[in-house]
Amino acid sequence: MLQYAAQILDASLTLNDSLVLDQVFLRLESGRIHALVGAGGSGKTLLLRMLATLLQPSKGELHLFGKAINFRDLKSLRQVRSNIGVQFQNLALFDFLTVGQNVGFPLEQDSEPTKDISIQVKTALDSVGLDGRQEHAISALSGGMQRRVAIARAAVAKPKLLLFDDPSGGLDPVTTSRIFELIRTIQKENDNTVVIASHDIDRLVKLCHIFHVVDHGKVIFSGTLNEARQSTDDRVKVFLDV
Amino acid sequence: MSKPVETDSFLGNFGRTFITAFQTVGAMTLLQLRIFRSLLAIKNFDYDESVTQLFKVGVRSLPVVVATATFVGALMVIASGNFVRATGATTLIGWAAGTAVFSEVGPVLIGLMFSGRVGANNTAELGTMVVTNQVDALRVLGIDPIGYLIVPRFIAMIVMLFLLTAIGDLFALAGGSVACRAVLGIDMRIYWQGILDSNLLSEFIMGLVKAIFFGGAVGIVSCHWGLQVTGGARGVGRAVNDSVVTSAIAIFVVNFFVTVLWT
Repeated sequence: MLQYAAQILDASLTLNDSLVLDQVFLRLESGRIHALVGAGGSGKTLLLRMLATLLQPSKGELHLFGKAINFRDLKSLRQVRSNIGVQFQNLALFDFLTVGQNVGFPLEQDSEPTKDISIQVKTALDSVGLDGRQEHAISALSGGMQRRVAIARAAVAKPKLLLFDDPSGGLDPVTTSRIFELIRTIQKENDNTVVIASHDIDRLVKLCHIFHVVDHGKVIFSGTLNEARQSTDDRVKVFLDV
Repeated sequence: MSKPVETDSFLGNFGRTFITAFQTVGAMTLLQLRIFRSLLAIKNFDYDESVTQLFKVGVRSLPVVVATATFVGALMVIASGNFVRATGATTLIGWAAGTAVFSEVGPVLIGLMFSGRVGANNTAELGTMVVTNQVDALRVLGIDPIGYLIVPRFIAMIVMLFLLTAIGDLFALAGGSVACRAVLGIDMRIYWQGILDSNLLSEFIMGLVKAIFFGGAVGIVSCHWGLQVTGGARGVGRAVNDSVVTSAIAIFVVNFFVTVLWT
């Protein structure tokens, strides 16, 4: 029987009197890398934010790790969030903390001993090619480096669900390739469920197992690349370039 | 917050302003309740961040408060100069300056300077954190933004405005004594003796009580506008403007009620 790390069940979302997500069904198989593709403004980021429990559906349900999420139960919400790692589209790095403090932040919330945190931060930064920059200010890093710090921070606590919103946005091809390889390595080592929202179809096709196509606030396709090729919806073929 | 209906009529615009004002006050009240709830949950309290905020809010504000207070004190004395000369009531100059500085001018002007410097900076900082998703990142990492970001700032503003007002009052009196001698030609000893003879303890304490409430008001207002920011950099600018204006109004309103209740 399939295990789902996350499920969005018949969820709709209204923001500022606009229906932005409409009767969405999204099921994320555990231990797989999922791609979220679609035109700009189609709702990919909103779906990621909902999976991160930052947005409550106006209708429908969100299930994470087998449980329905009750947004009023702050204690259980905190517990669920401790199993989610997010790399935001605009990175959301804490500019009042150093690189090392940013990466170690999730570990501090898990009350890990300081010595262990230092070791894990060093390992995480080494894996993204930024070892030795623990004391640097975030503003001292280039955009690509900041993106790698954001990925390290999202993955350092080995969360069950990892969400990447445009992990390679605005980066050169070499760095992009490195980042996607990094995501593959992280998923292989930790067997987490990964969701990547990106326009980089070529790289997603090589990395991801399951593809979800979003159009105007609806998920119009969920499946493998082979299933996408057999889809009669032209939009699916266009978005996945099949 | 739901948007009031768009309208061009005077009554409609008045009503919309009224509704918006009440929505804002309601939202600030809810924020205050969330702060109190966070304060009760002591394990969420970030002592390091509180100390950092105390330094940023208090120590760095000291030079501008001292400068403001010194000149305000001098101004109080100079403004009463004509009356003093006309009546020959030189012995009253200390009492007049002390009363005005302790009970009204000191706390209010220091509070306004504080809201313009600290409140505006706080709104800008929080607003920038909101638009760059740093507040969302805290939530995802299981941190309550109220306990981590807002409570330390709120406490720091109350504590530091209290201390800054006390220090500012003294510098205001000092400024007054210099103006007394340099401008009015009255012996400083007469000035200081007038203050000491007047038993202004009640006015001094009232001023400090006002400072506590002013600090709380600036804290709530600046944090509320910071957390409400939308629309990127322009939104942050609008929020800072709203924060300064609302803080000033709050200071005057709180000043009125504290004065009425005290006297």
